[in-house]
Amino acid sequence: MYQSRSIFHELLGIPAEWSIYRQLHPFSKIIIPLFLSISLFLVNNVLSAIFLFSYVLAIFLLTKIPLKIIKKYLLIVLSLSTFIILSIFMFTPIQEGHVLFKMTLLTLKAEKGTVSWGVLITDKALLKAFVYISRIWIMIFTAITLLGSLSDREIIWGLRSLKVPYSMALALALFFRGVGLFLKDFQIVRDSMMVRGLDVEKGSLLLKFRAYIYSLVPLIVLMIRRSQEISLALESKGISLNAKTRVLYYKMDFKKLDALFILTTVVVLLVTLYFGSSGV
Amino acid sequence: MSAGKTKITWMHIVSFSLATAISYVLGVVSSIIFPVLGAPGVSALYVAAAIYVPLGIWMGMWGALAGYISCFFLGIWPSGYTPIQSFIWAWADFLEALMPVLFFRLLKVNPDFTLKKPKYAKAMALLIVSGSLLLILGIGVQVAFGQYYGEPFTTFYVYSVYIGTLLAVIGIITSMFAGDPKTWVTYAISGVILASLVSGIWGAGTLTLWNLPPPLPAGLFYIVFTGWVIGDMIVLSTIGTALLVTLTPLIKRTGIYVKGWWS
Repeated sequence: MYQSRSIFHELLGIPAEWSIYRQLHPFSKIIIPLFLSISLFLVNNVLSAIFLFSYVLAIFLLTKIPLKIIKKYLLIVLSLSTFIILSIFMFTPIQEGHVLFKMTLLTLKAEKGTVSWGVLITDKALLKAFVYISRIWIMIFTAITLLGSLSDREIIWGLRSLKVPYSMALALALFFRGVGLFLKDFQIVRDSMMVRGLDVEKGSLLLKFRAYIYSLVPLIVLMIRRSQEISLALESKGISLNAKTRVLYYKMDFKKLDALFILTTVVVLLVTLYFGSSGV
Repeated sequence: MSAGKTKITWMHIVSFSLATAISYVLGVVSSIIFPVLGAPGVSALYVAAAIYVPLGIWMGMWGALAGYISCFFLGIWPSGYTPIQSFIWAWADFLEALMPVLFFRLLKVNPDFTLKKPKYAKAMALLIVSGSLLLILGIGVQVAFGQYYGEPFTTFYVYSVYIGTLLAVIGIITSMFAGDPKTWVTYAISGVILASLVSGIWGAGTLTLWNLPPPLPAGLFYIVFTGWVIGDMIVLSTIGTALLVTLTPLIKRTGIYVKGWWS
């Protein structure tokens, strides 16, 4: 079967190698991350977090998406983890459990008592932080699996094979094409600004902010022009909004491998539910 | 002879798709350049809002849909939310663009952003943003400390709420002098204040309180909410206003302008 470039390949230039997972039907490649998303909701304790993380990591490794993709998410994971730790240990500290560390940073006398604020680390708080941070990793790996294994063409083929109206499939295809086009346009507008002496890269935050305003007007004007050209092309080809084109150039079959992957993910969901409710 | 009802055309669909693409690109760029650390996909200056909120005024419900879909994809990449988390979270941007759509359509306001006195438009932005910031801070201090500890937090709350409300109201009144009073007041209330507040409540809420599951602890709600609302207000009252003033006359002459809800 024809294997098109994944969304990550298009956006970030990171290609994935040939893998069994990428050969699955687009429906499977959408439904598996959806089941994983539902499973994430059921992660309530350390056991369920470790179990689901292991499965998500296994799926990620099966997709053969290069590990360097994680670099793109590193800042997100680090900042989220920091905020989670700050929140659990400082903003809304958990009083339950065995106290491991306590330090008061600020005290303020008020009308009805003294406000004290500081760091409080308990064993329960540590476990809660672990579960939250594990959820972040599961969340990130699920998103990577979805976008790293699926291509925009596959989404459109999938939608067409599910008899989604032609106009809706075309709108989504145009969105994917539009992203690439406007990324280039945005770069061209910024380059033309720099050629005229506006150094956005080294400029202050205010300059960056102003540069945005200057670049938005040409972007929207380009959007209007492109919309007119494309819609006129569609009209002139006689394609109506309610067109019922039933011809599919590429045919995809739902194989046994698809059923196996989906079934395994459902089992993982049920086991996560069991572990999540076990209170371990 | 009366004009027939306008139908949805390819122009609407195509411009909606391309507008969604622009919103997505700007959302990605602004969440990378001006991030709210710890809240992926949230930007201190979320420039994409300055696209889809004006799009709501120009293109009706298509603008709100553009906000939703661009935010859905922004949630998956680069924010890293799961498809379900992103599906729930993205309604924040839909609601943000929906506010001006509702107000302009229900009140039958013909958007005329011709700027007669630019200094009033600038004053409007400054007054509304500073007033809202004071109001949010005051309520935050009261909720976190004032109700439990009393003075001096209660006094701070009272003063900040009074001064904040006064500044925001003066900001709305000031907008009347910028140009067509009906257009500007409707925009200040629905396109700047309500849009930011409603999207801030849903956006920060789905990140900390009611998603499947929320990626952040509940204790961070108020921090994310404040960053979200103030960031959106700054963007909408400056970049959004600049775009509406510059492009509304041009867009009204093209086929992408929508008078009703969809066509």
